[in-house]
Amino acid sequence: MIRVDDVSFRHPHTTDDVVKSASFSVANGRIAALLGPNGSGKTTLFKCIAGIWKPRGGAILLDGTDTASLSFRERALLLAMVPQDHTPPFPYTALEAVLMGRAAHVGMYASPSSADVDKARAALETVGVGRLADRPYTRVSGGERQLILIARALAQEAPILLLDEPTSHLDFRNQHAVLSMVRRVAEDKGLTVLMTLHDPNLAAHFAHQVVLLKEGGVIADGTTEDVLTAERLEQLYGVGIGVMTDTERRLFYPAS
Amino acid sequence: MKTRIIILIILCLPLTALDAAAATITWRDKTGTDVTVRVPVRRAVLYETYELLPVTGAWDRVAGISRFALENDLLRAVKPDFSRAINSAGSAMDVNAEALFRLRPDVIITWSSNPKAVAFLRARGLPVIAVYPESIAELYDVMRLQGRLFGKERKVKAAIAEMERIFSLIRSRTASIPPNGRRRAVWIGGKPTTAAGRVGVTNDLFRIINLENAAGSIAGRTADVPLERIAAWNPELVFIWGNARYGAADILGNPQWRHVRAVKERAVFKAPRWSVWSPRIAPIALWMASRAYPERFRDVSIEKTIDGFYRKVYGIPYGKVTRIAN
Amino acid sequence: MAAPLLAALFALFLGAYGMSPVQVLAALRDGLSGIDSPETAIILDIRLPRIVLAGLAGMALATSGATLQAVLRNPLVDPFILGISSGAAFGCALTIGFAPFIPLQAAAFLGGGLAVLIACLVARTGDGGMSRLSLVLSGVIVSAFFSAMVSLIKFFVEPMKLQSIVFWLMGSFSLAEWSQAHSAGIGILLGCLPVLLLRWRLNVISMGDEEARTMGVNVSRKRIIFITAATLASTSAVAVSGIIGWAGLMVPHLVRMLAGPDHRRLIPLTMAGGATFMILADTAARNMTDFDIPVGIITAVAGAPFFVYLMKRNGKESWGR
Repeated sequence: MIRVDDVSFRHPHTTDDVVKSASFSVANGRIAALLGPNGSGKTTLFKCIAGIWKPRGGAILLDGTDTASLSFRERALLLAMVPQDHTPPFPYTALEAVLMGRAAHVGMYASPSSADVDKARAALETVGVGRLADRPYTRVSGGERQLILIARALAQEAPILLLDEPTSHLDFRNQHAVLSMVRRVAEDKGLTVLMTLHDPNLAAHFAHQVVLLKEGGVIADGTTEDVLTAERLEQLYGVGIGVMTDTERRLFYPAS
Repeated sequence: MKTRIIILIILCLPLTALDAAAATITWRDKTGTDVTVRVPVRRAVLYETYELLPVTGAWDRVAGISRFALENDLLRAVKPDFSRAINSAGSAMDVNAEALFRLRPDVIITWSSNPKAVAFLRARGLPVIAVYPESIAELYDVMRLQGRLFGKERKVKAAIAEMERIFSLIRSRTASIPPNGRRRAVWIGGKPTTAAGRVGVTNDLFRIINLENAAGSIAGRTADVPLERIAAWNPELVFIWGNARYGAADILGNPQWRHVRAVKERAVFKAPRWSVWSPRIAPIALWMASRAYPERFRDVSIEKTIDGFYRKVYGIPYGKVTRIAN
Repeated sequence: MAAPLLAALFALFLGAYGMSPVQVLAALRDGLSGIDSPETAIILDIRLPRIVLAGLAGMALATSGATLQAVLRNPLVDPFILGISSGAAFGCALTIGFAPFIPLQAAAFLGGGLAVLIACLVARTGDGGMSRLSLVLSGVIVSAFFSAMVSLIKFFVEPMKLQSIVFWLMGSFSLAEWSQAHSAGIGILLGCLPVLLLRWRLNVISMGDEEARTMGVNVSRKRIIFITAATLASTSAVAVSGIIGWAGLMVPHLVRMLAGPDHRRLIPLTMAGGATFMILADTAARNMTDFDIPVGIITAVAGAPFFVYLMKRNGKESWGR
């Protein structure tokens, strides 16, 4: 479970809060999407939850524990992150890259055991790129690399999964393919998922819960049906929104 | 009309006198440049070969000197307060250009190992003579040059004569040694693995003393060689440059050298911290000869002979300078 | 992995003294059984300590380079970029010139450590992190500063001490002896050991501060450990052999191209590769000509073209893109 409690953040040497008293919760096993326009503080809030940045005020609780009191390792056992941008520093193989997700489980002076390697391989299979295990992950497509990073997060075996704009570098087909896989795996393993998204339609299709963030503040938080309406989205993006509905889904589009 | 011409001639006479007094000499220096200098020189700057100053006695004609000269034992012994009148102008390797210009030198003697400095000063119109004596004959030339610069040719000639007297003494004792009877010696420098080759003043000294330069296969002045090569040469004598940081004890005590003949026979000697570009190279040679072939110099009192040299060339007893340690 | 031993064996047979292989083996046998002769002195007191010192220094520089490349996520980094070697040089020059009672190793470590500390402080950004680029830039600045300070010291030091500083700045193993191998060996082994033990964590750290933190690694603490270890190893080498360039940059890169970037393999192979490389380079330095060429020239002349060739052959992959 993720609970964000009155969290504020401002960059050092600035006077304005980028995140202003944000509060929301994500229940166990739920998939939540964080939506907001550019500059809404989405990524900042995300990094605070992931433990990369320290909030100026408020608390973040993972499964009931205040993250401020956790060591990096303890936090990694609760929460795994898939970054939006990743520049490979060296041509590690996909397996070596995924294996790094086991860091919280491997002793300080030790190297990963064969059990760790097995779990890494299994994670690659789960996301569907098992065949790339021995390929340098610099020599794969952008989409495949994204899958490898997701496998790395899965190998970490943490109950909470955070994804930062998981579809931003993916093509039209892969956006859906990757998010369906995430949803399937989350349901299989009972993971709690929070992802930032820029496309409300993806949120509509794949998330149980949606949180809208505008100018650093939460303006809506609830189930997808309740929160994702044309009015709300107009309020969020500041542009007219049109809706198309059929039996299976709703589609939002900017209407001038 | 006639009176006017006579007055004109009389007025011109002083001019001719002026002309005669201002002579010049031209010298081809080590960089191959012909340098012309007006003599006698009045404001010389000596970065090198300053140990000739006590010979020429031209203290009042020197405006600047190397900073290393200020600590020189010979200069301080001959003229203890010389540093008050003569300023430091940096050293041959780090020329202080501004200090130099302020001294308004009419000649600068430095070494040729800093070509950039030489070119820099010449480009600004200063007369620079670059020297690097690589033989005793060349050293004599440089000494005679100083004699001409200061108008003290006779004093230099006398000093050279004294040097030759000592060299003759050495030759008289060692010339009869057959080639296969010569001892093998090596002169090492700043690093124990830097050996003097078959070019240079030290090699000339070996020749006078009739020593074989164990490092004779080195074609140049000096070379840094692997320690193994020195072990392979197996010299019977080792002479250490006076300004080296280490001493004879360091070589004698170093286990890496233990099988070298010179170490086994304890024939390792450190030269005094005297310049080798100076008349003092003669007493150095005598000392080296007495260490190389002690049996041939038993009847010669090295101390007395050196003392005699100092008195004749510099007018001071040997005791007043830093003596040779071993 | 056995390469350094092979290289050492090879090097043992080559030398200016001119001994045939039979003589070398005889000398070894004699020396080990306590017999003393000129040949045993050559082998056991001149050649062997030099080979061992070259191997240790090569291992130290290469390992230090690999560690820094991982921590700074930049294959173009080595002990010198961060200013470590210039700082070590400064520390040594200071003690040689003015305080000879301070052991050289300690002075080198303090100097190198000071340089790294300044470089890190200068590069620190507002939120406590350190951007990769600014660290490299500040390293370059610190390096230049300490080099200038060494030049300054040279002016204030008397000629005899000046020689020591100058000779030792031109990296060479020509005066190698056992005492140096002992004193440097301690620092080098102490520096390489933590890196060897923690080598898998280097993989994680190379992923970047943010990601490594979310994977559970205390990046700030590990970075201090790794940089300190790299500093200790490289400054210990610099203190005995002077500044030798290129090895810390090239060997890890070469090994990475041949064996992949996983540090579980990379670190031990780099240690072996660095030792082998330096032993071979030094053997060339003392045998190619009548003279004893400073080994830094060999490492540069041999390393640069070979490196370019490998880069061209592997193409973009060699940069990890």
